[in-house]
Order: sequence, then structure tokens, then C-alpha cells
Amino acid sequence: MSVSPSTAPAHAHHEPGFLGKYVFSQDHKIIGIQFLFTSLIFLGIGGILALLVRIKLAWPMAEIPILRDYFPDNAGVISDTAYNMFFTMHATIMIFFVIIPFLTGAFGNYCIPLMIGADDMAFPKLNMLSYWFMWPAIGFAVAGFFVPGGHAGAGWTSYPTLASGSLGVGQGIESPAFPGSGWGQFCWLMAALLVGVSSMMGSVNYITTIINMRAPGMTLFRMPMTIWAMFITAILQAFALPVLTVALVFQLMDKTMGSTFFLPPSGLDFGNYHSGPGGGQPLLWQHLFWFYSHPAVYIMILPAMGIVSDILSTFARRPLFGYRAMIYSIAGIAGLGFIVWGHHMFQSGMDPRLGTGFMVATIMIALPSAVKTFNWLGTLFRGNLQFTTPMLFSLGFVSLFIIGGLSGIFMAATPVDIKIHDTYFIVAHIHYVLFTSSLFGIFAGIYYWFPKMFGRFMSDKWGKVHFFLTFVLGNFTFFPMHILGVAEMRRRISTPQGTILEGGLQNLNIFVSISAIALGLVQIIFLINFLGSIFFGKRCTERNPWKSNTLEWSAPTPPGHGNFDIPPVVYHGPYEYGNFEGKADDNLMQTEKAVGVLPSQTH
Amino acid sequence: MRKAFSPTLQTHAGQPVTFGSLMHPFHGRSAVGILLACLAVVGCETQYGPERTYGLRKDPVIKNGQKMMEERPLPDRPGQLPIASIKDLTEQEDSDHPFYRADSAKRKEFLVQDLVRDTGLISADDRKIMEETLEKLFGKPRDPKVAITDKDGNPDEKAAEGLQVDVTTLARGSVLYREHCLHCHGITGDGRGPTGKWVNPHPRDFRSGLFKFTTVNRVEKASLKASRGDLARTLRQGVEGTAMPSFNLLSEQNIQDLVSYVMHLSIRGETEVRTVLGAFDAAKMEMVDEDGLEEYINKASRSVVKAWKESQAAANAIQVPTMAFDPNDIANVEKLKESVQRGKKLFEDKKTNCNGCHVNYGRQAPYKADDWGTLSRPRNLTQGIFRGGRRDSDLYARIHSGIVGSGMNPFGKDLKSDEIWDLVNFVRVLPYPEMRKNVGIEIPE
Amino acid sequence: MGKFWSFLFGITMVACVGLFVAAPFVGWWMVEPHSLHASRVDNLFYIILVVTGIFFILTEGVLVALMWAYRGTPDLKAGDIHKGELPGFIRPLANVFNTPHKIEIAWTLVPAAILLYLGMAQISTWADIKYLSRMEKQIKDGESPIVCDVSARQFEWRVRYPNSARLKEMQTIKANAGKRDWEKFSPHYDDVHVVNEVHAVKNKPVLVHLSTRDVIHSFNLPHMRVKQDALPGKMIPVWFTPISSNVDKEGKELPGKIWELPCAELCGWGHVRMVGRLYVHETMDDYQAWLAGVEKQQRNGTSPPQAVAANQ
Repeated sequence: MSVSPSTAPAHAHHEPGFLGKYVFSQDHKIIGIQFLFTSLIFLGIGGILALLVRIKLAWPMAEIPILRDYFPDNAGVISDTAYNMFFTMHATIMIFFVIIPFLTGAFGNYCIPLMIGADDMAFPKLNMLSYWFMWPAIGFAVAGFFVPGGHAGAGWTSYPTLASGSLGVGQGIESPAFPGSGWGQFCWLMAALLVGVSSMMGSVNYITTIINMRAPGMTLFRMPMTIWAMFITAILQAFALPVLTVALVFQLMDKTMGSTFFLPPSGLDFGNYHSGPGGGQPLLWQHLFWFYSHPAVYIMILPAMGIVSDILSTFARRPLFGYRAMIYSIAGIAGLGFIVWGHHMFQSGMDPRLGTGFMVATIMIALPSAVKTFNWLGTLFRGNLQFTTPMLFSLGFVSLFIIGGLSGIFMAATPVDIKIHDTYFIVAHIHYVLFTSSLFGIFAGIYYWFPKMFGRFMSDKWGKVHFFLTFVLGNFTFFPMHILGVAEMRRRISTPQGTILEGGLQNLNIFVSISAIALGLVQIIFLINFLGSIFFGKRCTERNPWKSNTLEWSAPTPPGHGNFDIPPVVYHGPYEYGNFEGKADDNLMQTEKAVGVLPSQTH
Repeated sequence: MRKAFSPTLQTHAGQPVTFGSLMHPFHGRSAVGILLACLAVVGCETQYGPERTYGLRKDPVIKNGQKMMEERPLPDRPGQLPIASIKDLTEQEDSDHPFYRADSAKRKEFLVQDLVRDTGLISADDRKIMEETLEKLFGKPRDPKVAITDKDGNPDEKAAEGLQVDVTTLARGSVLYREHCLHCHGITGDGRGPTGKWVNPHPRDFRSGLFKFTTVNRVEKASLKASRGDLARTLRQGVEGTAMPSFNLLSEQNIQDLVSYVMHLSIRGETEVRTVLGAFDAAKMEMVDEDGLEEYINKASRSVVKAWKESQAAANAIQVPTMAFDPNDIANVEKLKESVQRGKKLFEDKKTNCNGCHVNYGRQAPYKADDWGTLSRPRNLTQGIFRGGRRDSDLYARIHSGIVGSGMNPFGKDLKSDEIWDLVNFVRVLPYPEMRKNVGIEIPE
Repeated sequence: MGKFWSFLFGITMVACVGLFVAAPFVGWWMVEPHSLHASRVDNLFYIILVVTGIFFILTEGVLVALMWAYRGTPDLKAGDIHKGELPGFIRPLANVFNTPHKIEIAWTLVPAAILLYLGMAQISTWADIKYLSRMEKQIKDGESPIVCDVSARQFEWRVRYPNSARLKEMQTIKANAGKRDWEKFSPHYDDVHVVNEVHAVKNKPVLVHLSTRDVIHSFNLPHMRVKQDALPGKMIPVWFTPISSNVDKEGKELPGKIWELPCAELCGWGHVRMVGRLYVHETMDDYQAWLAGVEKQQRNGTSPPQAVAANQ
């Protein structure tokens, strides 16, 4: 079937004004791009907070030029209180305002209707609301920096009673446990709550759209991996989020209404302040929180895995190896993800016998991840690898996800976890999974779909420079953290000089910090490339610049309102790359009828 | 495998820590060059910056915190400092204390009643003189000193002899203070570090020159400060029941350096306070002393240093006699029983009137205002938390010489030493119900 | 360009392995184990390190090899590669990848077996370290552990010991199948209180009653491979048996043998400064001598406080 390019939209519709088109838009593409920009801004903020953390760790007692003016009462040194606030908000912003909105918000919104051949989401208004619920959350997240006591500083996990310790009823919200645990923590809780509402609206929409609005012929097992990953992520979110919301509301009530969900019967003493006796249990929070936040880890990686699978297949010019195995392993990860939350709590005072069960489940979750990795390698075999920027980021994802995955086995093993729990080993692990994996997947996706989004290419040369430096400096920054952890550097310490063992690691810390600062600066290349290419990039006139197979590439570039000028009909799966008789190109789009045996059937 | 290396023990031995001193003999010598270059940009500092000064105090001096507290007998919440020193008198909007309310009548009243001195009213010229003179006497945070002059303006090296406030000790102390104490106690020792206002009780304001948990004999001489041993004990043991943690992992040398630096801050701060209170009149803060401001400051510094020197004299320490029997020895249980029962009687006696403040053994003690203008409660003695230390001799000293500024009076004059020991034994037994039963005292639940 | 990128990936992976190999030699590594269970923990760590190391080298090696072998050019079509001759070193792989179902079964079952083994290998060690029932079995009859009560607060460890007399009494308690007396260690009039110091005796089990007064802290002894959070409102037992001592007769730490007790769970702005010390005495006599010394200081105000303070 050949595609006849047409400039006229397939059906008539009224043209909305500027506000309706770009701001309060109900078009999934605009909403996706809105999410993209919002997340990019917060990537910058979160990155700056990360650099502040690293600066403090490398030169803990130095007066840093410029920064010193902000800490007059601490003699120009970044105060420990501010440091706690920095790392807490770095994690919170990166997780709730960068990775999740990027993957589910930006790519989910942009790609789902386009890749399944729908003209929009099932509930466009809900979709718009989902984006606009981010803004009150952002408001709280930013306002927290300016409230008395500063922003929350009890870690992104916000464990009671450090986060929830409060005075008696009616005595105000300020916390004696930590300056940021008063108004700052209140803002944190509200922000997380509202982000949760936004995510929930998104996931309901995604599930409905994927189930109900697929193009004719798009069976479930003809969907691209990106869509499968988004689908399973949305289900994960829909089931896990209510638990977090409950936990957040509990802590809010503890803070404002004098309930005692997380306050033990013995009460707490902070100098002259005494809490009354409570009726709760601090461990309850950890259970509720991790019941959401462990699946959240998969919410933050599965869509990236889907994106990477698609990109690898496209640029290896090969069918994805083990398509069904990939889907089953994603489902396996998601399913197992609900019964492993206890591995965050091995040393928490939970009954150690529970730990054994959680350990076995956790170690087995490495299996589907391993299968996925092997499948990616299988995809490369006998391929014709095109080293474009999105491909490089995807290969980087595979390469570094292996590190993040393997280091996870250490902390899954309960006795070994005694040693590395709450050390920098954990920090290394989470950054290998979230930075060098999730964020690499995000970068790959941006470089890949940029032509479709904006009708121009991002510079490939600068993209490669960006990849090279990010890959090298990312490893410089995060790999030594494994060593720091093994050598007993604790997590969340404001100076690596607290103990004798940590003192001996100071120079490694300085190395890591310098790498981190360089890594931060390198992202400016990306920023310039991204913003510059929107206006000055090479124009992309073709519909399918990468010669890919999925449906979004059969839509005009950029797609207009209603997406497809020709309603797509799907004939086969998305990964048919190979030799086709009578066809110059080596790809077979999903809308093209197959001739002969499909490459995916021969392998 | 790793060389023993203690940052707290070794890196502060006088010299500022250079990066080289942190290097393990094995690791990464090749990288040192690059890293040193990077450090040079930032400045590898454990010391205060060279341009940082103590500056003149901005907050008002509270002269009678107890009287002021009658206006607002509420405990301050986390994030608030004691009344009347939360902010400068000039910034008054966001406090609900009458002192700051828009109508300045109340403020004036406080000033006229001489409850408080507003340093904001001091003229610019006088401020400049004060700042310069104080800097001449006490240096900057980076180069602290106690350089007392005699009446003719010549350096008087004898004045601070024995206080261990020489320049090298203070320089070491300044580095340590910056790392360990600054976060709560603030640069000038005003108790206004970043976390100072979030903890309750608030960190000690060294500038007032009042130290609570001491062993100097205030029965004889009320002006005494604290001995080095007292400050060292507080550093080592911390103050249980407050936010002051124990620093007992610091070396003896480090503790002594810190004690010296705290004394330096206290001497400097109190000189400043005495000048504000003595050299100016109450309401207008105009100079009243005819000697000239500079000379007044010198005079004040001499008298403060003298008080500190006296506090160190062995003769001015509380002489704690040995208890008549060893209360630990199981054979003495009968003696202990009698002693505790005598102690209980004394506790409830009109003479001591312990019950008057520690109502129901402190369980229902009413709030009281202390000299810093904060609300505090007499200790609940049934909890077993003793801020000034739990050694018998600590408790003896509390009863003998009281707790400065808190309203706990010295009883050394009224009570014989045996009677104090009886009280100590009683207080020691109070928190343990089983022990109370053993020695035959009953307190209502 | 393909060569360059495979080279970059290859060199990075070699560097990663290299850092892990080199780190122990430059002193960036675990501290020596000094407790009964510590070497078991370390062994498990090394087992996982070796297994994951092999998998790491294997998968990254294959990735780099594939990137090198199949670097394509834009003009080349996918089909051309399929027809072409395979490079020599990749040929053995070809048979494997050409039979997808067998290889898929293999690469699912082999890791599954290894992972299951890794999981099972942990269980007994974990149980011995943390299960209360196992502790009962580990402590021999008539041999009471050293008991102490560690009460954490921002930012210090307050430690309480039974005094000498009560310690002697506890040592003589004969073990029985049921509850032991040392399990109930309530505050007592004559207890000895110290701050930031945990004392133990070589080859004698230590039982710590861990609690906290304000927020969550974590009792963390790197040299003993002990880590346990303290939960508000809950007493959690922690036990370990040190197998070497680190102090001399006077209770002074031997050179290079400072064993710290840092708090491992974020507990507020002073988290980093919350550090205690562990002192393991050579013999029970040394321990009792230390205990008697502290007790004397604390009780029986015979010495003037000023002198005590200065000499402490």
C-alpha cells in the first residue's frame, strides 16, 4: 500500500485560538510537549541541586564563592540543614517532576495515540487536567524552598518520625525534629499528593486509550514495545498510587490534625518538646511508602526499556529479538514488583523472617531483567547498526543498565545488605538505574521523536558529542560510588569526614564531584542543541526519516490535529526489517501489506 | 589495610587542613596535582574567611527576661528565638509579641522600664568605635585573641594568664568551633546558627556570660563564671534532654581548644553586653560614661577577664566532701534508706521549699521564665534525666550553687553538706519505682 | 564511527572492572571483619561479586563484540548483512542466536538457577544474624552475653550497662529453655551510663537492647558487619560476637584499631556527626575493670567534680 501525501486534514474541525491550541490544549501532542518542557526545566533545577550536594561533599567546610552569600549565619559554609534539603529535593524533583513526567507524561502522551493509530486520547479533557494538576504540585514544590525552615529535608523517602515529628495539637505545624519537617514537609506532601493525582489521571487515560482506541488490525501483540511498556506502567501506577496517596494523607493528618498514624505509643522527646503519646507505628509509613515506591522504580524504568527496544530494532535494522518474551518479562517485572517492597526495609526493624521471603522474590526479579538484556543483545546480532544519536543512547542504556541491574543483586541479598545498606553503594545503584538508564532512554527518545514533534532534526554531531561526554562523565561520576559504598561511606552525610573510614575517601569524593560538575555542564550542549534545533535545525520533510515501521511515522510531520490524514490499518507487527522483494527500503511499515514471509518469522 | 586516619583527631592539629594531608600514602598521587589545582580555585578552608568579622551585636540586650515574659507566658515554637531577641528592634512586623506590635508604646515602656536595651539606637559613630575597639581586643573569627590592655593602654599579658587563651590555642579552637559548634551556636556564640532557633532549649548564648552547669562556688561569690573543667564536662557528656550532643570522641587537646575558644567568645560577648548596658543610658542609648567609649570597653574587658580568672581558682570551686558511706555497697543499704528518707523530708520542708517549684516532684512543675527570656520548667525529677550530669557530685553542685539564670537558687548556705547528700540520694532514687519501694518512700502516682 | 563507539564501550567496561580490581590495593575497600558472622557476610559478598562480575564481563563483551562486528553504513541494507560472511570470532555465537527458542530457554533457565542458588545461599546466614530464635541457640548454656541498652537520640548514643554487682549476678544465671533474665533489662538505680561508647569482650556475645527517643537511627558497626535501625517506640535486640580486641589493658584503643559506630539512617542535620566507638576488651577482667572505673566516677561523690572533669 502506498501512501499518498495529503496536506489537507482528513476531516474538518474548528481552529482553536492560541490559548486553546498551545496552553489549555486538549491535543495529546501539545500536552506531551508541555510535559516535555516542564520536565526539562525541572531537570535543570534537580541537576543544580545535585551539584550543590556534590560541592558540599567535596569541599564540606569551604566558603564557595557566590554560594557563601546565601549562608551568612553559617559563616558562608553550606549548612547541614540546607544540605539535607538539597539532596531531599534533588531526589524528589528528579523522581516526581522529571523522570515520571518525562516517561509517562511526555512520551506517554505523545506516542500512545500516534503509535496505536488513534486520533487522540480517550479522554482529552482528563488529559489536559492531568497536565494542569502538575502546576499546583510544582507550586508547592517550589514554594517549599521559601517557607520558614526551608524545604523538606528528611530524604525523598520522608521516613517518620524525622519527617512527621510534631508538636501537640494546635501548637502549629513546625517540627522540632528538623527545620524542614514543618512547613517544608507540608509542601512536600502536598506536591507529592498532587503529582499523584496527575499521574492517576494519566494512567486511567492510557489504559483506556490502549484498550479501546487501537487502529484496525492493531492487535495487542502487534503493539510496539513502547506501548506495551506504557500500558503495563499505567496499570502499575493505577494500582500502586492509591497506597502512596493514603500514606501521604496520613502524614498530612499527623502534621495538621493531630492524628498519630506514625507516632508510637511511647511518644517522642526532642529536648523541651514532647509529643503526646501516639497510637501508631513509624514502620507503617515505610510499608505504605515502599508499596508504591518500589513499583515506582519500575514506573521509572519500564517505559525507557520500551523506548529503547523500539530504537534498537530500528537502528539495528533487525526485528526485535524475542518480542513476546520481552512483553512477558515486562509483565513479570511488574507483577513481581508488587511483592518485593520489603527489600528496602531489611534493616528497618521489620521481622527478619519477612526479609527472607522478600529476598527470594527480589533476587528472582533479576531474571526478567536479564532476559530483556539478552534479547537486546540478540537484536543487535546480524544487524546493520546505524550509530545515530538515539541509537547510541540506547546502546548506552543497555550497557549501563547491566551495571545497575547487577549491583541490585548485592542489596537484594539480605546478609550482604547489612553491609551495604545506607551506603553509597545504594546511591551508585539508583543512579545507574535512573540516570544512566532511565535518563539515557529519555534522551534517546527525545533525539528519536524530535523530528516528528517539531519537524526539524536535532544536530547529530552535537548529539554525539553530548552522548560521548555524558557516557564517559556519567561513569566517572557514578561508578566510583560503588567503591565509596563498599569502603563504608554512609549515605546522606553532609561531609565525608564524619568517620575515620569516610575521611580516607575524601579524594575519591573530590574526583566524583568534579566529574559531576562537568557532567552537569555537558548538559548545556543538549539544551542548546534542543532549543536551537526547534528553530534552526535541519528541516525534516519526510514522514519517516529513520525508515522505521511504527504508525507515528505514517502520520504527517509534524502531525496535525487528529494525527492521521489517512486512517491507518495495521497488517503486522512493528519490527519487520529486512529484504523485501520489489521494495528499495529495508523496512516494512505496519500499514504496508506484507509480501512473502516476514523477517520476524525467519529470524 | 587502611591507615588509621582521624579527621577529628589529626586534621585540626593547628594547621589548616591541606589536601595533601588527607592523602593516603597509596592512593592517587598522580591525581593530586589536578585536584590541588581545582581546590586552589575554591580554597581549601577549614578556617573562617579572612574578611569575616564578628561585627557588633544587632539584637537587643535583654536585661530582665523574667519580667518581660510576664507579657507572654508561652513557650516559643520551633523556628522562634526567645522573645525580644528574635529580630532587631527595627524589624517588628512578623512577631506576635507585644514588644514588636505596631504601637511602639509598649516598646518604649520596655525601654523606659530598662528591661531591654536596643542596640539599634546606638549612633553610627559609637558603633564604629565599639566595633574597632572590640576587634582590637578580640580579633576576627579567623585570628581570635584576647589582648587585654592595662589602664595606660599598654598590652597586659598577665591579665589573661592561666586562661589558656593564647593566639595559637584560639586559632585551633576557631577551626574546631567552625566545624562542630557553628551550626547551632553561631559565629559570635549568640546561639543563632542555622539550627539554633529550631531546637528547644535554645543553644546557650555565650555572650551573656552565664553558664548553667558549673562547679564554681556561687554561694561565696555570685559573679563567678565557669571553670574549664565544667565546660569540658559539658562538651564531653553533652546535655541530656537538650539538643547538645556529646563530643567525647574528640581528643583531650581538641576539647581544651574548644573550651578556650568558647571562653574567648564569652569574654568578647560579655564585654560588649556590659558596654551596652553600662556606657549608654536606657532609652536613647546615648553615651553617659565620661571616660570615653573606648576606655569603657577596655575597662569592661578587664573586669570580665578577671571574673573568668577567679573562676579557675581551686579555692573558688565547690568543695564536695565525701559521702559518709558508700551508697553503692550493698552493706550500706540501711544507711541509704535513712539518708533517702531524710532527703525526702528535706525536699518537702519549708526551709528548702523544693516542692514549691518542683511541684509533685517536678511532674506538675509550673512554667517559669528564665534570664534569657525563654519559658522553662523546673526539672521533672521522676524521669531520670539530669542535664547537668548524673554523677553524684554533679547533683551536689546543682543543689549547692544553683543553676544560673534558671531560677534554681543556691542552697549551699542554708544546707549542711550531709543534708545536700541526703537530697542527692533522694533525687537519685526518685526515678526508679522499684528502688523507691526498697528504701521505703512513696510518692503518689 | 562504529569502531570508535565499540572501543569506547569496551574501554569503559574494562575501566569499571579495573576499578573494582584495583580498589582493594589502594585501600578503598571493606574494613577487615572482626566478628563471628562477619566473614560469612563477606564470603557471600564475594560470591555475588564473582557471579555478577562474570555476567558483567560476558554481557558487556558480547555487546561490544556485536557493536564491532555489525557496525553498519547508511547505504547498506539489512538484508546484505544477513547474506554476508560472519567475522571469525562471532561464528560460535551464530549457531546459538540462530536457534532462538533453545537459546531463550537456556538464557532463562541458567540465570534462574544461579539466582535461585544466590538467594538460597543467603538464608542461613541471615537467620543466624537476625533471627531471635537462632541467637538462643548460639549462646552456650551458662554463658550470659554482655548486655547493654543503647538509646539513640539526635545525635548521640546513650548507653546503659548493669553495674559490676549486677553483672556478676547476671553471669551466674544458668540458661534454661525458656525466657532468660537478661532479656528483661529495665532501667535500674545503679546502672552505669556512658555516651557514645559501646564496650564488649572478645569472644563473648554482646546483646544490645536498641531503642530511640526521637527519630529513626541505625546502629551500624562496620567492623562487626552489624546494621540495625532503631525504631521509635520499639526495643529491638541486636547481637554479635567480636572475635578480636581493639583496646589495651587501660582501655585505650590500639593504634589503627579505632572501630566506629556511625549512625547509618538519616536522622537530621547532625546525622554525619552521630558517631560512637566500639571498645572490645581482651578479657572479662579488663571489661570489669573499666566498668568499675566508670562506676566509681559516677557514684559516691568522693572526688571533687572539678578534678574528675579535668582528669576524665
